[in-house]
Amino acid sequence: MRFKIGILVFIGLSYLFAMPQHYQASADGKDLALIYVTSNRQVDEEVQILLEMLEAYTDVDVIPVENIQEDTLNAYKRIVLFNAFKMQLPSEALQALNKFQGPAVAIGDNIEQIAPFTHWQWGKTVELRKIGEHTLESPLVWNVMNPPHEAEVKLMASSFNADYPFVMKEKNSNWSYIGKVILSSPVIYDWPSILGELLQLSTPDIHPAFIVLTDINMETDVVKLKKVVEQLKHYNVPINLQITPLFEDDGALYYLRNNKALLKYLQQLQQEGVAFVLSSSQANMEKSLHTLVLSHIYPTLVQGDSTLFSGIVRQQENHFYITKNDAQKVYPYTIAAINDMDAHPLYALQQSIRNIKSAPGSAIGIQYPSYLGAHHVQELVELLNNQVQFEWLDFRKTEQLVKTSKVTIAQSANGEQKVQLSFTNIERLKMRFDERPFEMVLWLLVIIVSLFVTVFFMNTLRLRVTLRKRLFEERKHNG
Amino acid sequence: MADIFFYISLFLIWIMLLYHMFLMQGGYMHFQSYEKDIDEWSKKMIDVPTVSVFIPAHNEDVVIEQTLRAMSRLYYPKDKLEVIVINDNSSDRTGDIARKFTEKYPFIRVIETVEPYKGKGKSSALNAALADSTGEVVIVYDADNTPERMAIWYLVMGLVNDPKAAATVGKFRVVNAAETWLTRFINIETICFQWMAQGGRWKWFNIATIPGTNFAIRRTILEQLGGWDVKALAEDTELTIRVYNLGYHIRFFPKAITWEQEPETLKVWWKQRTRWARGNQYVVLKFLSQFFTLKRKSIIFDLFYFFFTYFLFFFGVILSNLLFITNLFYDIGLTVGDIAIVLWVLAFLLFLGEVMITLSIEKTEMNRKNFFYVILMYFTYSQMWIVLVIWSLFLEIKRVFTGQEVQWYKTERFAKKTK
Repeated sequence: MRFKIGILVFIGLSYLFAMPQHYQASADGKDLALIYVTSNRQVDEEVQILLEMLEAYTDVDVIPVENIQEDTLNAYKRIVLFNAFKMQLPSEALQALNKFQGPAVAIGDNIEQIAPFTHWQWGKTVELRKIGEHTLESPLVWNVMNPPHEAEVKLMASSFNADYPFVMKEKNSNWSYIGKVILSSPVIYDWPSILGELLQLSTPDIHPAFIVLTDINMETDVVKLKKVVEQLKHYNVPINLQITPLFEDDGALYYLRNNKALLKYLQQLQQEGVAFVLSSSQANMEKSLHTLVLSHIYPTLVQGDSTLFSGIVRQQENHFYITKNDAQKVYPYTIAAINDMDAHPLYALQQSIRNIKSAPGSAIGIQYPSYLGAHHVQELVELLNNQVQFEWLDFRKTEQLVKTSKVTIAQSANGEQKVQLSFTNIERLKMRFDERPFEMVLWLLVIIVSLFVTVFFMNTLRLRVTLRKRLFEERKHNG
Repeated sequence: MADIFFYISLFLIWIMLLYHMFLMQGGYMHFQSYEKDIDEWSKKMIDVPTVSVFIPAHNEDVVIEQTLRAMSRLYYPKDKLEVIVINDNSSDRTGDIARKFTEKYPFIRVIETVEPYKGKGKSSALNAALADSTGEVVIVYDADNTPERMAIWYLVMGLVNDPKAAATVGKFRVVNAAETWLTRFINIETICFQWMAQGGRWKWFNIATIPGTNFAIRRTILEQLGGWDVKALAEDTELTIRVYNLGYHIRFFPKAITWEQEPETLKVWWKQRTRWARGNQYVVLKFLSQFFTLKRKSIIFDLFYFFFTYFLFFFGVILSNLLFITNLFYDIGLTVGDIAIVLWVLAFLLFLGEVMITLSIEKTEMNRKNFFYVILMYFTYSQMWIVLVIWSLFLEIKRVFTGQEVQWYKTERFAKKTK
């Protein structure tokens, strides 16, 4: 009963988180308001990424500029105004913005409407090639903003033949200006620290890090996997395994169960407190989960998207912070893959780590394909230790909830898992049949033949008992 | 891929095992019911038909005397019985011994085969006797057979009471079962075969196969069919199919019992069984093209059974063995789990159950010694058959491609040792 109440509380809390709190002004507790100006008043990708960066520092509310009232911003210490759409800002919002005294950053268009920037001049349109020291992959068309001389330039941008102030702080003002938040690597990794500095936020100095052993399916070599796991254990790296319980190839479904040695090992790891991430196609998500659960392996996170899980692990461009998305927590893969074919397999990974460490508090999410074996584990761990300050994230020590009509897995922060299964025997049988139709037929055969064998032995017994009552006409031997 | 091969072999093996299991149950049911009609049937045995008993004999002086002694004691009106020893090109004393009996028993006579029948094998000898006899019912015994006194009475009884029966088949027992380990195995094998394959098929499908001996067939049918196929090594199986195709059936009536001698050495066994296997393979191949034009569907099914036995089943067994051995040394990726072991154990238990039930039907066969022989048989004698069938298939394929003449192998006889 207590468990059920716990689940209800968890769901209730999740629901609260899921509510569009980002889009409403909160009365208390929040530090920063991210005010956005978009054409459709919806949070777009840029706003989302900005939010993720800011949430690494502090609590953030996301508010469309249209919702800003005169006193809305009173509750906040800091604000960011993100202009992705050129428009006349609502007067109430302008009043609130002009009135705001805390550190404030304006990004993009519309800034000339805010009091501190009214005397700033828009200049010509140029093609930017560099932001700071980073060369852009493709030129960025940008309308130059000419600040007054007294503005403090924090970052310059360059075209082929000229440099332009790109990030500035208005002298004697609480406002700063950013020309545009450019979402391309490696510039994107600089924004968190720039924003942190402009908003006077204290910088997180630790990166949460995790390694997920991926590509574990029916064809996985269990010996190889064991070596990787042992090696990771040796370096005290929490073990997270991404399992594909069934995969389709040429129309045929292959089940993890068919690799008995692997299944046994995974079951052993489940007992040892290892975390499992489910990998599946959308179509087979529930079936995959059920299959795994019936094999006594309980995944608490999912690779990709699924509403069945409260925890998601995925790779998404430009996302490098652990974030809450509706009722789900997203753990991003942020580091480039190990390329075993390369002369220096960890080169790209090393570059990624260099980039990611520019973004304070960003996640170091690494996929380590299990088929690579244990060769790169030592090098990888040493690389991390030498280059970045991080803390291992153990998925098994996170609160997670997985829920389908048949399965509930609730994992608490101490790693305890409470599993509730509500499969009927027929459903279990049907799943076994789906997984191994031939084997089920064979078991049916076993039952039928066993019945006949029993009948035969009983008949034999009956014949033995009645032997003396029967008449035998034939002679014992040839006469 | 290994799994696919495994399932193929499993399918081929278990189809056969299941069919035999089904037949075994039928055989047991037939055992329980076959004697019930005898009293009623006996009432019709007043004006019994004339009978010609054919005993093809080629160099059979070791056994012919005891055979004819048993023939002399047969229960049947002697004015309606003729026993014909077909002395086929013998170079030993077979003819002399047989002729001694003709002096004492007028219903016994000896005929010498002449061209074109002479020395061509059993089918030719039987055709010779068919041409030189008049009995309304023809009964065949091998030269080593010593039928029970009532044997031909019961064989004829089956025909008299069943107008749709072209032939009646009796039961044979092994007279030298206790002689060697091999004859013990053969004894167990023959008992099991007759109750399972003969009794079971008769019970479920009204089908029985004419064995080489201890069967009665109507002369009219034989003449209509043109006698025996001289090319066939398994002339009995071949005749069976033609009889069924004519619209008749063959009744299995185990009340008619004969005793026969079985090979006591591996060499003789190998030659005799190779002939049988090749003979059955010949029959399957002969009728393969006529599979769907045969008139009687039940015999198509039976032919398919032969086809399955001599081609598919053994292929399945070989495949299974190959997978098993390969898997011992190299991981071939078999994912089939414990079920394979369960099925293997079950196959053994099924074998044990089937054999034990048939042995228990007979008076003295279900004893401790035979129980251990049955267990041993599964791992030895049964496996010998695999090699034999492959060898026979090789010879038969070779014959088909080279047009080689079929050579009849006469089973070597053994002097009587059992007291």
